[in-house]
Amino acid sequence: GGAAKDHPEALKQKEAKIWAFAQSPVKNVAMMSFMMWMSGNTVHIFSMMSTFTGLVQPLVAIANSDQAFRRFADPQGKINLQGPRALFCLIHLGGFLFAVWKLATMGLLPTYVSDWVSSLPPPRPLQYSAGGEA
Amino acid sequence: TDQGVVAMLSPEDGEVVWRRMLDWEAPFDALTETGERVVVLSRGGETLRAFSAEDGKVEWEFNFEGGSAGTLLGMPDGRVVASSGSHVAMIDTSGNEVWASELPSLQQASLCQEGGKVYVASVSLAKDTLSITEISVEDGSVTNSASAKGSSLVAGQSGCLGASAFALSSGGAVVAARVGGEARAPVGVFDELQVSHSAVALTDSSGGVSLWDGRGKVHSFDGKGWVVSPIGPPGQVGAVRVADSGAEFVTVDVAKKAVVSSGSSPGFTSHDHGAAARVFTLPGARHLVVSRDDSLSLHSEGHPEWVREEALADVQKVLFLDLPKTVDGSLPDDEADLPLSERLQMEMARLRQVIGMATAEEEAALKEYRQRTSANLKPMLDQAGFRKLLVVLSGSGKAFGLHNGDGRILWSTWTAVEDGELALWTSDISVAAAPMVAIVGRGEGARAVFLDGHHGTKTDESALALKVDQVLPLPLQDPSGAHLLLCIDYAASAARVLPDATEAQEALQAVKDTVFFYRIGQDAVQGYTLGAPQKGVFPVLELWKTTLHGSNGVVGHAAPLREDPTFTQARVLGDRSVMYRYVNPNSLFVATEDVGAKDGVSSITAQVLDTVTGRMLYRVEHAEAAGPVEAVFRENWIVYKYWSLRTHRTQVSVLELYDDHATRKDQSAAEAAAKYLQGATSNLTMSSFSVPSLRVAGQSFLLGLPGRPLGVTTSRSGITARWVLVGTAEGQVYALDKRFLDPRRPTGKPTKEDKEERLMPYSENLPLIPHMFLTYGKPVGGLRAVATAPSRLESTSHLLAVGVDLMYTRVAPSKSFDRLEDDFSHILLILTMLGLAAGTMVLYRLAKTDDLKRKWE
Repeated sequence: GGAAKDHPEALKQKEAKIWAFAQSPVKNVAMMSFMMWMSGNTVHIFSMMSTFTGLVQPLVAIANSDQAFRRFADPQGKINLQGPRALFCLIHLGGFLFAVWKLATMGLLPTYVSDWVSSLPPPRPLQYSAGGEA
Repeated sequence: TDQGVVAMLSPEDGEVVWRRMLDWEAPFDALTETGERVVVLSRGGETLRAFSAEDGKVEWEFNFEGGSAGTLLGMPDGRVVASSGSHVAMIDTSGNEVWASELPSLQQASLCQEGGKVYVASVSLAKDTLSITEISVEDGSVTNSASAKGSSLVAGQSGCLGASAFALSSGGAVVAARVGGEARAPVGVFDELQVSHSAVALTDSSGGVSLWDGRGKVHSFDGKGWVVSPIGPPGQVGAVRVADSGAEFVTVDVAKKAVVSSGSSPGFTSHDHGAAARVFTLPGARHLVVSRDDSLSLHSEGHPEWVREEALADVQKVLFLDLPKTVDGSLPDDEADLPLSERLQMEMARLRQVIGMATAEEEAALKEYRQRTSANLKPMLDQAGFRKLLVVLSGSGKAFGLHNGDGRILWSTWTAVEDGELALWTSDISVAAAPMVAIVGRGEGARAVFLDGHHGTKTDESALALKVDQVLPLPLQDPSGAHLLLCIDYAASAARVLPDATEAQEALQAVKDTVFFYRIGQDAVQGYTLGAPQKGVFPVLELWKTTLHGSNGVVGHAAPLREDPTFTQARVLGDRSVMYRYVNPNSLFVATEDVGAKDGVSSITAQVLDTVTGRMLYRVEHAEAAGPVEAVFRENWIVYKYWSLRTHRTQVSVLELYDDHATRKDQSAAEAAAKYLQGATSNLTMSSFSVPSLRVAGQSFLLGLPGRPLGVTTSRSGITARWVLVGTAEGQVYALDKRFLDPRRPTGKPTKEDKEERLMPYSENLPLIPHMFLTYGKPVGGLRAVATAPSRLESTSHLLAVGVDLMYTRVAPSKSFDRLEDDFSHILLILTMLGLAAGTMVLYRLAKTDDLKRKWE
């Protein structure tokens, strides 16, 4: 009933459960990172797929974190959801940063000058000249 | 022909029966035939060759040591009397010398025979003497001679007629000499003399032609412009005149002094073909006319039986134009309305042709069907820009419009502008109006002719008020859309714009401070600019002169093509850094040859100049090398070929110019990102007055075949890889990928960065890959030059190889990355997609029902 929910013991249990839930993505993220690491430095179909998943999945999870934590919401507002939620997002952010690092090792990040300059048109000459044998 | 081609044509249709190319750098001196074989004296009188009359096989060859210009006489028994320099020899039918004799001071020789004796007429210009010598046929000994004195005899205007000889002196009087009798020289003042086989044709100062023989005047032609034939039936002389109203033919019998036959061809006018240059009378009252437009036509009984446009063997300038959008109202995508039954019939005939069991009429019908439905041969513009109209201009002034699908002549126009420049005059981007081309002549009394590019009609003609030395394109357009041309007269230091209207002059005056032009002389390059105009004439001001060192002067030069686009300035290296190319359209590559005074060994100096300031950008010397040097210059690289005396092979060197200052300074990604995001990269300019420090990379290679670089493939935006087109001595076009000619090719073991950049390890021999011969084993006779043009697709471009023959092909140096193959099956693609969609739906249904079943369990 409603009285049982107000019990401090039940509250602490609930908080523990929420923190456990917040730490649950570690396994998932670790597995994704391992998969990305194993897919190698070259741009192939597997490495592209795993990197793409590694980029998109954390972002989607962070965006849906609000909804994921809603089932733990306390109608009386006594449980602080923001802390666990921040940890949840931080773990996923770690996964995202790993994917970005993977992109960099594959050479897909524009960190070299040739990435910005490779279609630089040659400058237009201000003078015009023509001629030949005469 | 003048280009060293000996060919046998069939008189019925003018088709070539056989053709032999002589050494095309040394054309022939004389030709005669002896029934079974054709004998040619070539290479400046050194080589005598006999070709079988049936199939052109070389039967024998005879060499004169130290020969010089000479002539030939065919005897009725098949033997040949040849003169070369001061030697006269008789060669029998197997190429063995029967006798030889020396006639000192034999110049301007002519050989005749009469009554079983051979006569040699000779003109000595130094002594002003005309002499005729009788030689015995058996042993070549001189049996008789006669001579006459003239007054400054003219070279090339002499000949012998039987036992008499005639020569023209510069005053116009004719000098005659005769063996064993008194010579009767024609009376009068004449400008030209030509000896035919039975009479002498003399042209007087008003252009009238008259025939004379040893006894007096035979006939005189009324009107001007008659040309007399040097050969003909015995005792008869033929002549032709081509005028605006048509061609007229006359055959005169010398003995009877009367016209034997006459005819006319009203359809063959001098407006289409120019006046007659030469004529040859054949038995049967037929005349072979060589016109001023280099066309060959055979006339008989009032009409030309066939016309051969031989000006196509002397193409000097090429322009690629787009075809009209519609022809007679039909659009390019309209398929010819063919009934299904006919298509099925053609497919069956095709199947039979593949097996090899098609009849001759089936093959002809199939060929005609292919012509009607082929995409290559339609006379309209297509989306990819694969169908083009090639405007070619010959040295004699005849312009043709050729369709690139099969080379057929769409139009031809006689412009009478010799050695003219061909330039695009107006062009319409919306392809609604026909483009116009301008043909501008040079020299005194130069004319400019403007033609409609699609139909070849003359739309305008104007005389230029200058003695034109150079015609240069300008990057300006006048209000009517015409591309301006600059006509320069160096002697008068004057230049005019074409069109010579006030708007054009004002447009040029506005930018004249940035317009420069140059002239390459024998040992120096001189640069000029324009001054303020006075009454439409721009004074030519000398700006700079760069003297090049070399005792033999300039042996080769190349300038980058203005319309050839460079896609990017950056060359990405293996470690992701960037080298900035130095692309300067105002530069010039010049090679000079110098023979060392002490050891007599020649060396080649290659120089790159900036043509706005005359500044030497780079210079490199190749020791123990000899010219001539052929070079191609594109973007920022130059590929040039010379003869290496050290290795006795053809050597090819490549130079690449890079901007060293930018390469050192501008390597920061953050700065480049900032500039790119701000949009500050699009309107960069460069000036020839502030040249950055340059880094030039160079490398040399050995070319495996005797050839020279003629051109480079081009593309619409410059993204596609480039092939350097090498023309071999045989006439094949070999495509050499530019990646082989890369100065950065690693000489040691290639590092990871070199592999990343896909650089091939250096090897001094350039590879010879059989499938890169673009001519597929059919050599282009007398290959002289190559013209390339982009199409509307980036991957593909056009290539025309020009020589005595013409060859056209489409090249895709990076394989056709932007179009599907012609036989791509769209149906298979659609079926596959439909099948996958159906399979997806079916499996989705199955999965759902399975899921439901499992939930119920």
